Amino acid sequence: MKKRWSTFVLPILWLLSFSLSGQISFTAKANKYVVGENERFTVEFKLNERGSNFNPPDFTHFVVLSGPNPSQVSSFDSRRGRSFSLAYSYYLRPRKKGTFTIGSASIKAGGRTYKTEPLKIEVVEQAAQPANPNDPRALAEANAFFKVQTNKTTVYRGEPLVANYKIYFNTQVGNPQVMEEPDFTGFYKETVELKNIETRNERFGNRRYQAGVVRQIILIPQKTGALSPGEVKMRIPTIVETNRRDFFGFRSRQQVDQEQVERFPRITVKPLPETGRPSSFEGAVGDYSFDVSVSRTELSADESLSLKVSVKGSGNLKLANLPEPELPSAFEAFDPKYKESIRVNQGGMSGSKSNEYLLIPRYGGTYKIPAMEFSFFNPDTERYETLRSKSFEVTVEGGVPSPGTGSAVAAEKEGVSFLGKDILTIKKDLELSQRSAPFFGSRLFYTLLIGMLVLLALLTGLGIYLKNRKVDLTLEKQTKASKKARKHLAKAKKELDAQNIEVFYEALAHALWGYFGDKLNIAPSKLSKETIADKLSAKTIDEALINQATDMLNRAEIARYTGVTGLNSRKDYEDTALMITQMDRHL
Amino acid sequence: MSKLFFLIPLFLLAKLTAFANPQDTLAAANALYEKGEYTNAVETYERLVETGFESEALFYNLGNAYYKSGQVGKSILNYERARLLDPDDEDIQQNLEIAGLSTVDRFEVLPKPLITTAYQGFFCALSPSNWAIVALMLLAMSTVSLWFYFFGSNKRLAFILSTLSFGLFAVSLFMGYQHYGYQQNNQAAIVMEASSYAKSGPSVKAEDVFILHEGTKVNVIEHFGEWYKVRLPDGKIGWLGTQDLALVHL
Repeated sequence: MKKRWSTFVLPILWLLSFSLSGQISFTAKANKYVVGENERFTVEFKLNERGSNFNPPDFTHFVVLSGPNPSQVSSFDSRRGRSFSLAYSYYLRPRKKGTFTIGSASIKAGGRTYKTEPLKIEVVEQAAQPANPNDPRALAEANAFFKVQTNKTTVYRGEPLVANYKIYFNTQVGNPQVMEEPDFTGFYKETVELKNIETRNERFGNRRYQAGVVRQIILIPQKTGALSPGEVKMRIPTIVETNRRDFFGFRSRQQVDQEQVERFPRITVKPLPETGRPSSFEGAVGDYSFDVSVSRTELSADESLSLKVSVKGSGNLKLANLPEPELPSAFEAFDPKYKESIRVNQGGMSGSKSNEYLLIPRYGGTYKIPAMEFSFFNPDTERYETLRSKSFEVTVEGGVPSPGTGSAVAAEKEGVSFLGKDILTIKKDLELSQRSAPFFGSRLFYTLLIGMLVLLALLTGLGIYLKNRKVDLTLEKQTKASKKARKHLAKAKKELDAQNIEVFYEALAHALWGYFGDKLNIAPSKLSKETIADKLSAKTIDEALINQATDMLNRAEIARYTGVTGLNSRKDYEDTALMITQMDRHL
Repeated sequence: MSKLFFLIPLFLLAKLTAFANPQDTLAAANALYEKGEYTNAVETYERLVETGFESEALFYNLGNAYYKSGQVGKSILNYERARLLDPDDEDIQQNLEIAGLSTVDRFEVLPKPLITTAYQGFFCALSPSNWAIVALMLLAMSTVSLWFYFFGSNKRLAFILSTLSFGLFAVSLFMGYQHYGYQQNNQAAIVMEASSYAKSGPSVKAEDVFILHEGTKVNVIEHFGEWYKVRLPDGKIGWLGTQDLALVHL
């Protein structure tokens, strides 16, 4: 068992010793591990070989004042042969007290990746003295530095504030350069153009310095809360005098390109108060004056008019909206001419902006340009202020009168827009009814519909039935007419035989009238010789036969009423019988 | 069984006595509205509607109360209901228009062929129920004229009258059915939710087609389970859940 273990491990150790003898090492080193809060220190990552792909750690808890600064050294030594080293160094400043770890850096060398051990740095209360008063960097920092100063740290949203990057120096400095600046999210930023840096004597701490503003910016916060914009990095080339003396006994001078980092002061942005906010408020903060003017109030139809709306003052003028006038539709308005003259200076923004509207009247008449309002929040008084312009009355002479003139000017092309946008009030009518199912499709409707249709059908049926029955009756009468006539004739014959002439004619007449009445379907009330003749001729009966019939009727009548005897009664009887037989053939 | 029949009128009576005087309730609701207690006014009006009362003024006032309490969808729904009862009332039209201003959806209304609109205008001139009444009156006239044709003296006039009124009866009945069918296929409904997704089919899993917002009026053209198939004024078609819509016709 023991033997086996050694057979595996020993060759590995042997191989390892070879790789170590190659002596590639990558180490991290700081010049101090305990650092005062205001001290600077360096961290160096060193590789004793050629390497590539240097990957630095995160210096989250420290400010990188400069770095990575690479350096290479190659030398030849008789004992160790050729040697080479590559180093990356950083110049750092702590952010706050505490113990922090700088993570490991990595690099590629000889096909492998090497990593450094993490470094532990303890940041303590600031050191009483710079470690080395002769360090040119420390000297440079002491004699030239910069500060970020704002004129206010608590502002209202929309209230401009001024930030100055100011350098303090009492040695010779080159042209300072802002290397990095926060991106100021949540702010509207405007840079003040500074022609040259004016310097003057100023005290900082307990020393006197020359002080000058290098850069000035105006910030207008757009959101509320405590905002920390970030850090500003500035390069200040500084000449420092070292302790060394030159050939002539003067102190030798050295230029240090120091880069300093300053935190931008934290800014507390208060929201604008909700109470007392006028409806015309549109975000203007500052102190303003407001003016509306018209070029004239009386004009003829072919002239034009200009309306100028202007706001003057200081504050977030660039972000303030100009109120828009409500123009009567009788005027044609063109897009306004916008003008602004805004100066950005030490106090923020000030100046004026204006809109000029060109109005051309369409119709004659007197029109009102209503008063306009401009509201702003004054951060000094911490109150909203509303400025009201005058209203104007403009008289247009000549021209077509406006359609629908009156105080409420009706728009010609647009529909009438609701002014108040409120609904009409409720109705007072108290009538109510029970909701009912619609009549269409209800059972009642179908019952009535079907009932009435059935009634209609029944009525039609009844009518047709009755009409048919009437026709049947006449037919029956017609067929029975000859029989009835013959019956009456037979009766007449009996009377003739008994020589009762008067009665004979009566029977004869009865037979004839009855016969024609039934045969021709004539009601008894309408029965007359004329109607009979008419009906017969309508049925295209021979004229002679008609004459015979009327003749016979005449004779029977005469005989009946005159009582004339000795007439050829027998012949009359025979003629009548013959005529009826002939009639039957035709009818 | 006979006892049950006895109960029905009692029940109806109880229902009516709960609202001893609906006019008083309406007046009370109006008073609440005028005092600015819109939520209470809404409740009182709604009670009347639930009990089965209706009038153009009731729906209109309810619409106003909803509008004032900020419920645009319900206010539009009630204005539309009022308009059904009185299509020519100008107050209703105007308030409907104002309430419409605060809705989100805007449409380009599709133009309809002139002939269709004229025809539609004709059969929509009377409600189906009124067409039904006209048709029944014409049928009665036709029957009476027929009586005079068979048993009266002026048979020619009676015959013409009878045939003519029967023809008109048939036309009115047909118009009534046309209007009824049109109503069934174009049931107006109002979107009640602040926003509602219309789907491509009657299922939750179906694709979203468009979004509608509160107060928009749509036409319901089909009903399937929990879904309505709707047509927008610009011709778009989609399916909406029944819970998102309220039909104008009660």
